[in-house]
Amino acid sequence: MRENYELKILAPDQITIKAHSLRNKGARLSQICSVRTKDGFDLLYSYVLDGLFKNYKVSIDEDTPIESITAIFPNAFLYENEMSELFGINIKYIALDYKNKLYDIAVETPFK
Amino acid sequence: MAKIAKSPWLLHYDGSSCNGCDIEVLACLTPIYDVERFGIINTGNPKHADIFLVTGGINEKNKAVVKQLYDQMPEPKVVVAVGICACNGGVFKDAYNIIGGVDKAIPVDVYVPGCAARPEAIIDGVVKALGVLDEKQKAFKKAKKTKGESK
Amino acid sequence: MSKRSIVPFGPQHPVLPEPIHLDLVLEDEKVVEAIPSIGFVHRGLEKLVEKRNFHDYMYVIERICGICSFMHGMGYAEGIERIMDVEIPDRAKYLRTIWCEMSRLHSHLLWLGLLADAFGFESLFMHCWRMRETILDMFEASTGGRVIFSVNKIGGVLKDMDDSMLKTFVDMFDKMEEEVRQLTNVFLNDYTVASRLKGVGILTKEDAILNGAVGPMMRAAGIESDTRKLGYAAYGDIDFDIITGKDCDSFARCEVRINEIFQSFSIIRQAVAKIPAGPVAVDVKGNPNGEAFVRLEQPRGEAVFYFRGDGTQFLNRARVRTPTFANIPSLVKILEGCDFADVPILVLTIDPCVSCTER
Repeated sequence: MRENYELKILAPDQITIKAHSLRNKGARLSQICSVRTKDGFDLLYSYVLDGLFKNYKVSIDEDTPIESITAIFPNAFLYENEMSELFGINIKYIALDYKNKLYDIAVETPFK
Repeated sequence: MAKIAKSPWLLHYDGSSCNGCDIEVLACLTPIYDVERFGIINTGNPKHADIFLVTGGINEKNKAVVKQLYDQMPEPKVVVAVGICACNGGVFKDAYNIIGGVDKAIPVDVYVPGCAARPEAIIDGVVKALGVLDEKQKAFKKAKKTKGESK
Repeated sequence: MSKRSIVPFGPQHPVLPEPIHLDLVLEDEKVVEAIPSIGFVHRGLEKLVEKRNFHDYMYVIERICGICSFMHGMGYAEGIERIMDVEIPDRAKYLRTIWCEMSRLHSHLLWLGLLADAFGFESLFMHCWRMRETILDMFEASTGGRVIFSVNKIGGVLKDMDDSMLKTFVDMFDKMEEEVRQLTNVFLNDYTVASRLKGVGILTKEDAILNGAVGPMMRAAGIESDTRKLGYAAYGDIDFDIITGKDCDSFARCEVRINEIFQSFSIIRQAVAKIPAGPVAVDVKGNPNGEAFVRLEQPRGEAVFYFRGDGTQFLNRARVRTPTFANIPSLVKILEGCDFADVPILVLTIDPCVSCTER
């Protein structure tokens, strides 16, 4: 049997609003990741609410800045630092910003 | 200085391995394989150690750590690279953050291949390292002696 | 206010088998804040997917971590099977379940040993690891490897276990269960263990949710969360309860893991009793085109896999969110306000797997 998960599209300015409403419902942040597409990135935010897996896809351009959700879910800092270091996504207001030194990689990042 | 080879102390550091070799190194110390019968003791302090076991390849961030641990160990010392990634990078060779085997950072005396290296192979490697340690100790003593005579 | 000082902890430390670095801000002997820094084991395996054929990538993804190697391979296989809409034979599902639970057994015994070592109970460490060897022997007999198995393939599994082997395993597990019970009684009833673990490293229910804790960390806080209940592989046909603790401290986490060991024995017995006959793999043709999420319950907690393919033999993106990565914020939380001397044991209670974390 396979899990049926939800995958919804979200506008970039809705990220923090959605995170707020999910936190108020008692969800936990499961993961955030980014995927490079032809002309930008897909950001995938996954939450778990009452054991159900909820995913939100946010498509952005190369340099659209997005807002951090560390103020709402403090554990987002690792995911957001990872995305900004490896993919070069412009994330504003990360609570604990490693300034692209999370993994401290020798080769040039972000990857194109 | 008595023979160190009779009771060498090990220092283990995980370079960037997958953990497989690390747990096998630890498995060597436990009852089934029991390297303590050779007088080998695992230590966490580089200043106590004679044999340096490194698992996993080298990346930019841990290169300095491996070097610094090696430098802290007293002479004579032997380095054993455990597992294929410690030998030459193995399956991770093409990954962007791997420079290569342990020999890119420090001189390696014994290579133990395998993915993951089996405890038997690790013990063989360590026993081989004891031979190298013995040689190095002899050379070290000789060098010390000639240095003393020239004074 | 007393003077603050910063003490670096790691990457090389006697208690840590793997490198992780923490900057601990201390006020005398109390930890005020902990700042983690990772990257000593970072290899870049997620990126390697662009250089490896999607069948070959199986062998790379297994090497994310040598302890849960089976489950990483299985997560990858399940993800690709989902994208390609492949239904694997029932026998393969049961075999995967059995191997999963064997991985959980060996991982939890490993952790119990490391915990015992961290509080200086060396004979207990040796006993845990001696018992773990029995499971590794079973792995070697059934898959051919001790830590890296390479037994998953897209479309099923590569090896089968015949009935006599399964029966031998069950007999061995029956014998082992007695021994493990004797061993875990020491953890649960010995006052030296309790004095190190009880009331230390409290992670409340609210904090666990807020910090996104997973696995035994979360269940020890009394939250019922176990992705096995989703019924992947053969878990849907197996009867088991979610094990939770209530004290939210290190002892509760130890208790949860110990109870999970006995649960694993029971799951294996049920799976062996129900396993159907038949083939263990189907042929898979074509290349993956699409995207899929998979969630699995690893020994350390929930792991999230995400894969996206574009119809070529190289995937676009592989993403593995491992349980330790999710537990690091909780670790930082429980370190706040603890004694400096308790740091090693608190780091161990999250069951850290650094090579998973950094990939």
